[in-house]
Parts: sequence; structure tokens; C-alpha cells
Amino acid sequence: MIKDLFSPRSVAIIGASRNPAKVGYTILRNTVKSGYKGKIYPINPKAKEILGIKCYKSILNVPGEVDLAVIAVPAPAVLNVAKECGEKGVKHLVVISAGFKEIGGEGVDRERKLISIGKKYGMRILGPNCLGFIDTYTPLNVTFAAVMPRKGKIAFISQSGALITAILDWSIRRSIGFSKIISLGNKADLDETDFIRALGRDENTNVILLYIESIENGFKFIEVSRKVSAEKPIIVVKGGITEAGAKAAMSHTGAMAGSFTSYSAAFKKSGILLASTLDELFDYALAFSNQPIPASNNIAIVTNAGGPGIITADLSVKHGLRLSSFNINTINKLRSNLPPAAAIYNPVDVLGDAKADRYEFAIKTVLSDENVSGLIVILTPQAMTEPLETAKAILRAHSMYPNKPIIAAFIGGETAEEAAKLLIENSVPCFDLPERAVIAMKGLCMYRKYLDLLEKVPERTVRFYDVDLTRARRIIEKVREEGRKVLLEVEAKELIRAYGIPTPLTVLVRTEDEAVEAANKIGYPVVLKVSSPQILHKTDIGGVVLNINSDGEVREAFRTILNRARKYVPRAVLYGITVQKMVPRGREVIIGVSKDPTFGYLIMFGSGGIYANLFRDVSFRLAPVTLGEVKEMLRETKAYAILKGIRGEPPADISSVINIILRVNQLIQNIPEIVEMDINPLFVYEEGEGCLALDVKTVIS
Amino acid sequence: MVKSIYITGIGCCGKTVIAYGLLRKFKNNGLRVSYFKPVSIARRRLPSGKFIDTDVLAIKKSLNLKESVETISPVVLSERYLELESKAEQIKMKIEQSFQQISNGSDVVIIESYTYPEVLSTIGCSVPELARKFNSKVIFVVNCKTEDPIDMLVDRVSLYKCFLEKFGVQLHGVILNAIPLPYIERVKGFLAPSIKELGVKILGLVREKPKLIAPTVRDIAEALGAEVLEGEEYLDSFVEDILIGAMSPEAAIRWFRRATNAAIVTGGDRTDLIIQAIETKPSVVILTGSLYPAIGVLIRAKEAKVPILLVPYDTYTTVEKLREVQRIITPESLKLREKEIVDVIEKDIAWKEILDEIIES
Repeated sequence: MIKDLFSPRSVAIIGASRNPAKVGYTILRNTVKSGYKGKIYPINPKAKEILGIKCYKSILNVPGEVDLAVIAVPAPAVLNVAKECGEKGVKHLVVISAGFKEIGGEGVDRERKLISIGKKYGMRILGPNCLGFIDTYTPLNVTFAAVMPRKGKIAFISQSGALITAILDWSIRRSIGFSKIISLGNKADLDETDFIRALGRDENTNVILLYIESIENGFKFIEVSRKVSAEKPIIVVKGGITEAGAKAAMSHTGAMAGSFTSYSAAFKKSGILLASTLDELFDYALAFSNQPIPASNNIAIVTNAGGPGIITADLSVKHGLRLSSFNINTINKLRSNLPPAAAIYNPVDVLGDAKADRYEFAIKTVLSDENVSGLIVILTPQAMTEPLETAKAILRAHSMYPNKPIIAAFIGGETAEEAAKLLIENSVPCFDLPERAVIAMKGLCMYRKYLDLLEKVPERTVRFYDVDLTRARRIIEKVREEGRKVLLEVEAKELIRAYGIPTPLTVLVRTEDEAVEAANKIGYPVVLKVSSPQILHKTDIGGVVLNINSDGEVREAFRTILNRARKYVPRAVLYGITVQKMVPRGREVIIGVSKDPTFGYLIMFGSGGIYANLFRDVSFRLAPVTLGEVKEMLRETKAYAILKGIRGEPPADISSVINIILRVNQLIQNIPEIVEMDINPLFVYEEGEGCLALDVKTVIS
Repeated sequence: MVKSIYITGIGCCGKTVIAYGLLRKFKNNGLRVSYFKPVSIARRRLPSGKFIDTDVLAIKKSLNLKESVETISPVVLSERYLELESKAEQIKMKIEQSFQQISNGSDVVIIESYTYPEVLSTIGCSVPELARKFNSKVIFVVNCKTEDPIDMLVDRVSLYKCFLEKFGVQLHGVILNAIPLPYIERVKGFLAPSIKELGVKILGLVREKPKLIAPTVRDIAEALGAEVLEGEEYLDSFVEDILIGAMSPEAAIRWFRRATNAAIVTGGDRTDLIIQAIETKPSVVILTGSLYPAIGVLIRAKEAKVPILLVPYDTYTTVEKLREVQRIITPESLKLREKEIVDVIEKDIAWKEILDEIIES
């Protein structure tokens, strides 16, 4: 159990040193200083004792059992030491030493060997190349960080060790406490998912923070995170969301839309809040560590200054919060008790001369209103203001209404500092600027929305029984046998037709005569299109001729297309020309699929046709998608408004679009060879008339 | 005199591969075969300073021919060769002697011409003149992919037929090679009959198979003088496609995924692209401009078993050089593709007819 990693009965520190400049010394000192109650065994072949504790030459010489061993010896010595730990029966290893996979070459092999030693002896490993971990409740600090954090309800898991040391330092000043801090390092064995699972069950942790650059096992991550985030919020900052960042983090994945799209889709599916900055991460954390989740987005603002109140109101609306309308009782109560100049509608302005008692009255009054789900209190220091007393008033109000979150923004410097500290220490977040208070409140509201979604998502996905997997498999096998990766248009269309997705009649031809014959069989008018795996956008090279009405026109179009293809893409291998029935124009949408190596299939929906790449009006979800997710996905796009009909246009057949997305969803589950598929355009006709997939591109691996 | 077939054609039309295929097929049928390339092109300079034709080397090695390279390929032309005029008699003699030596103990000699049949007409050593001397059956190979418009190949055959007839040699037959798919019907239904009307046999109709002579990663590494940064043990895979990674990773992935057995060329500093390229499992990733990649790239490559090469050239030059490599045939690529080549000979080329007629004559 990873739980035991945090509360071992005894700890051995291998590579403990007498030299205060060495990591091995700092770790031992931190372990001792953290107030750890269990046995500590420094291991050093040369020293007799360090910091007054008896040293052992090797872990094998330690008389008692060792639950946890922290390894801080040079990389070449790690494997031997780890083996000894295994022989000793150690349960958990924390490998601080660097010189593994991160250096490439021999480091990669060394890490592989370390993993197999762990497996052989049944030891779980944190690291290598990590800072260690801290548990403030055990208490135990096996890091080489300079400070020990305060006790708190926030757990922090980080792929960057340096970020931890920086944040620890900063948290002391802001009086923020942590339950556990874990540095993941190279994640040779234990990774973020293991700790999310463990922290989900940890009663000392109310909120889990995550700084992550890459995730290896996306499926496991989503599965575990979904369960945990239904219990407590998980907030993540993802490193490497821009091209530049991704280059440095090497987290690029194969998604067509870039790795960030797949990561944000994964977080959405897992109910994880995404913070865009470290500021945001900790502002969220502060709010979540002790505040309740608001029942709605309706909030109230109480302020002692008009300007900041208005700014806060603006920001709230911008971030999707709503200013609640008070009920008549609240308004009457406020009007009869506040000075005449006070603003009694939301935001409530108690005026610059307000002392703590007037604040307390206003705060309690608005909190008692059932239309108010949360409160932001703004305080600006003025001559009459009593910051500390006001803080106490807020705390009293909070204990009266524990189900409504209160977030404070005490604007200003030193005069507000003591009050802010009091609030934070008593678990009411207090910020120096209204922006941050609003963002923290937004975070709470977003989590409520995610909780609703997690509950709503049914366990079962939609299944179709009228699909022909055998036929679909046969197409794929044929393409594979021929050593191709790209399906011909006719093959791709047959593939989706086998899954009940309608397409216009299409025939592949190689000669003019065949083209004429096909056109006559299909019936005029027809469309001729070039067919080549190397031509991605057929219209770009004039490879599509529409509205052909006679045999003569077919022959002409056939030659024109071949000539253009030879001229513009001389190296492309041509498979022939496809002849397709010309169908009436519908509203154009795109349905796409791209396989991400970490998270699996990403399904895309959006505005289609040749302008698809220009408008980028698309939404994404990770497969498998449920009916609810597909509907939500549609609603996120402008294409949805077009499908519903604009300015008296009749609505299009939206339910058949949903049906097709769900069929695609099933197709990719059944045929994992598919790495990319685009149905573009999908013509959507009026309600009840269905859809037609005009062009399909499919790539297999 | 020994029976011989003279394979000629214009440019890169597949002469070497067809010659190799026929030699293999005939040899499998129990015949004693020899290969002769009287005039060849200087493609590589040996450490000894001597120029050789890599095609000759490839066939000699893959068929274990006992004759020396100098005998198989007595005349090697470099860029300037008209000065040879003064040594015309010497050259003719050398060719004849080599041919005698080669035909000794052989049932059939397959002779391959220079890249163009007319070469050395100035000294009387063009294909028709040599064919007359050796009494060979001449087979003309046409690359249908490069004939534009496609119908021109009939004129081409007609022209070279005249050229041969001027020296009293019959054009025995034509092999139409590398026919692009959309032209198959045109070629079979109209162009081939037109050639027959000229009194020339159609001895083969071969569809376009661009992958038939793909080089291996090792060939490429050698030809580019590249440093192998990772994956020394995976240099035997073929390179059938060349892609340049210069776009955004989102755009590039669509091309990377569509390529089979690709060499992906990009800068060593394009970590994002390289990582993405590696994920699509290409045959090789070639990094240009001597830009050493980030260490993480090599770790990924090692895990994915994709070799990484580093070259000093810019991307354009690298690709130009790669195209050149694609035209060079190596013993490894011939051996590795033997089955497929013989398959083409058996299915698409009238090898039996060629053999019977030679033996009868």
C-alpha cells in the first residue's frame, strides 16, 4: 500500500553524510527536524554517527526492520544499494539520486534495472531524480528542501522538484499549509495516478494539486481521477501547453489538434480543474481546502468602496458568475439598517466609514438570503476601517452559514496583513486583489459543474447492433495486406457504411471508359474526384469536378483531373478517379477522429467543408463518448447554431448527426488500427432527412 | 557464339532490376548465367581511386559472380569522355575481350547498357553496334511514369527501332515498366497494340511499384556520411518515402501518419516534430544542419527503436542527396527484395518466351 509509504515505522537514509553541503546530510537533518517518531538509520560506510544518531555501514547491518529507505548515493552505486534494500525486506524506496533516464544512454538502462529490482523484491519506488516527499501529519520530511511546510489540507504532487522548493518557501509567508508534498521525479514506478488514488482516500487531504508535464498511462489516469474528483477536487497545472513549452517538456502527443487539446479533453473527462497559472492553482487550492462548494453561481459582494465593488462585479460576470438578486426581506433589512447613502442592491456598499459591526450586519443579512450561494467580501483600508475586527466578523458569519463559501479580498498592504493572516489561518481565503477572489470563487463553481457532470454521465455508452464488423475488418485487412496506410475513398466509405453511416454511391475507376460506365450506372449528375493517398486536400489541386451531366463531360473531367494531378503533385501515386453521385447540398459539418498515444481517441465535431481549417469551430471529447457528452460537444460549437437554423431557417437533422458521432465512436472502439479519420463534409439535411458523408479520409497504423 | 540479351532503355527505367530478376530466374532454372555491362557510369569512387558503377557491384555481389568488376564493367565513363576517341580501338578491344571472358562457360549472358543507348556512338560502341557484334537480342525497357504525355512512348520505341535498324539490328521486344495505375488501360488497350503494329514484341507490362528498389537505412547513412546517433541495430529497414518536417506538429502528423517506411528529415532543434515523427514509427529520422538533438529525443528513439541520423547538410541538400540514393541499387536491397523482384519477372514479364527464343536462335 502506498499509504504505508507516508507512515513508515522506520526510515533508513542511505548516503547520509556528515558534510552539511551534501544532500545526504540535509535529508537526515530534515527527517530528524520534522519530528518523525519512528526509528532513523543513517547508512554511511565511513561515519560512526551523524547528528548524534548511530550510523551503519550497510542497510544489511541494521538490526531492526526497515520500512522505508531513502537513497541519496551517486547513480552508479544506486543499483547495488537498491538490491541490498530488497534483501533487507524494505517496502518502499525513495530514490533521490539523479543520473537515470533523464541523462539518456546508460541512464536509461540503469533505470530499467532499478525497476526490475523493485519488481523482484516487491518494493515500490518513488523517483529516481526526485526531491522526496513530506507528510505533515506523520510527520516526516525526507526531502532536501530547506523548509518544512505548515500543516494543512492541501496535497501537492509535482513533476518538478524545484517548483516544490519554491512553493514551500512562499507558502510559509502566506500561511498556507499542506498535508503531503510529493516529488515524482522520473516516475520509474510510482506515478501521479498512484498518488491521486492514495490521496483520494487520505482523510487529511481536502484538495489535490498537481503540476504535471506528461502522463504516460492516460487511461489509468482518467479512470482513477474520475473516481477521486467525485470525492475531492483535483486541480492541475499542465507544463508544456505551448509549442515552446511542449518542446521543453517533450510531452507532445500525436493529436492533430496538439497535445493540449487532448490533455484538456482528458482533464474535462476526469472532472479535473485546469489552472492556467501557478497563482490560479494556489488560489483555487486555498478556496478548496476549507470552503464549501456553492449550490449555484449566484454570489453576493459586500464592499466598503464603490470602485472595487464595481470591478469585482464586472470580473464576476466575466468569469461566468452571476450577481444574485436579493429577496424583498433582505433589501428591506439592508435599507432600514444601513446609512441612506449605502448601496443595498448587489454589490452591497457599506460605505467607507463602515466599522466591523456594519460589515457583520451586511454579511449576515446577505448570507441569510436563499438567492445567495456564495460571498465575496471586499475591504479597502480607510480611516475608520477595522480590518482585524472585520476579519473576526467574517469568521463568525462563516460559522453561522458554513454551507456558503466566503472569499475575502483585503486590498492594501501592511494594515490588512494581520487580518488576512487571521482569515487564512482560520480557513477563509483572503487575497490582496479582487481578481483573485473572483477566480477562486469561479473555481468552486466550476467544480460543482464538474460534479454534476460526473454524476450525470451514465456508465453505459450507446451500442448499435446493426453494424457489420466482419465487413469492416475485411477492408482493413485488405489495406494492411497491400502494405498501405491510407484507405482509398471507396474503402473508407465502405468502412463507415458497414457501421451504418450513409454515404453517396461512389465507384473507383481507372479509365475513361470505366468512368463513363460508372457514371451511367450511378445516374447523372455525378462528381469526379482524384484518388491518391498523397493528396490530402483534393480541391487545392483542382482534383474535384462537380455537376457532370454527360458522357462527354465525364471524359473531359477525367483527363483534366489527371493532368492537374500530374502537374501539381508529380510524385503522388494515383489510385484512380472516384465517380460519385452528385447530391444536394446540406449544411456542412466535420466529424474527425485522431488517436492520441496517451489518451486514445479524440473525437472532434465542428463546422465542415473547405473552411473547416479556417474557422476552427470545433469541440473535442475523448472516446468513448456517451450520448450526453455528444450533445454537450455539439452545443459548444457555432455549427450547432447553424444546424438549429438561423433566422427562420428550418432546423437540420441534429439527431442523425448525434447518431453518426456515436457510430464513429463504436467503430474506433472496434477497430483500433485506425489512427485518423475525417468525415468532411458531412452534409446534414433538414430534420428527418438524415445526413450523407461526402468524403471520408482514413489512415491506419 | 554465346546467347545474349541486351537490355537497354532511357534513363532510370529499371534495367538493372530487370536484368537481376532475369539472371535470378534463369539461374533458378539451372542455366549458367553471366552479367555484362560493357559501358557503365561512374557512380562511386573506390578508395583506390578507381571509379565504379554501384549497379555492377550490387549484381556481382548478390549473384556471387566470379568475374572481377573490371571484367564485368570494362569501360567506366565519368563526366568527360569524348577524349576517349583517340583510344577507340583499344576500348573496342577491351570490351570484346571482356565479353569473351564472361561468355566462357555460360549458357546466357545478360548485357545491360549504359543509361542511354546512344552513348559512345562517336567511337562505334553504341548499343546497336555492340549488339551486332555480340549478336544479342535487344530488349528496350520504357519507364512509363516519366513519359509525358504517355502516348509518346510509342514514338520513343519507334525512334530507337530506327536507330537499331540503321546498324542492321532488330528491336526484339519492349518491356513497359512502371505503368502508373490510371494509365494501365491506356497502355494495355492502345499503346501496347500500337507497338506490336511496329513489329515489336511486348515482353512485359509491369505496374508501377515504387517500392521495388528502396534503399535501406544503412545505404542512406553511408551515402550521406551520416552519424548514427541512435538505433545502430535497426539500419536494415527500407526507406520508401521521404518527408520533410518543417510545419507545425499538428499539420505534420497528418503527413507522417500517411507515409510508409519513411525517412523523415528535420532540424535537430525541432524537438516537437522529432518526438511526433518517432511516434509514427518511421524507418529513420534524419536530423540536418549538425544540430544535435535534445537528450530526451534520443531516449524516445531508443524506446521506439527508430534510428536517428545526424548530417551536416541543410534540409534541401539532404533531400537532394536522398533522391540520389534512391536511384542507387545496393547488394543488400537486391537480396532483401529478391522474392518480390522474381515475382515481377514471373508474373509480369514473358521470361519463358525470352528464354525459349534465345535458346532456339
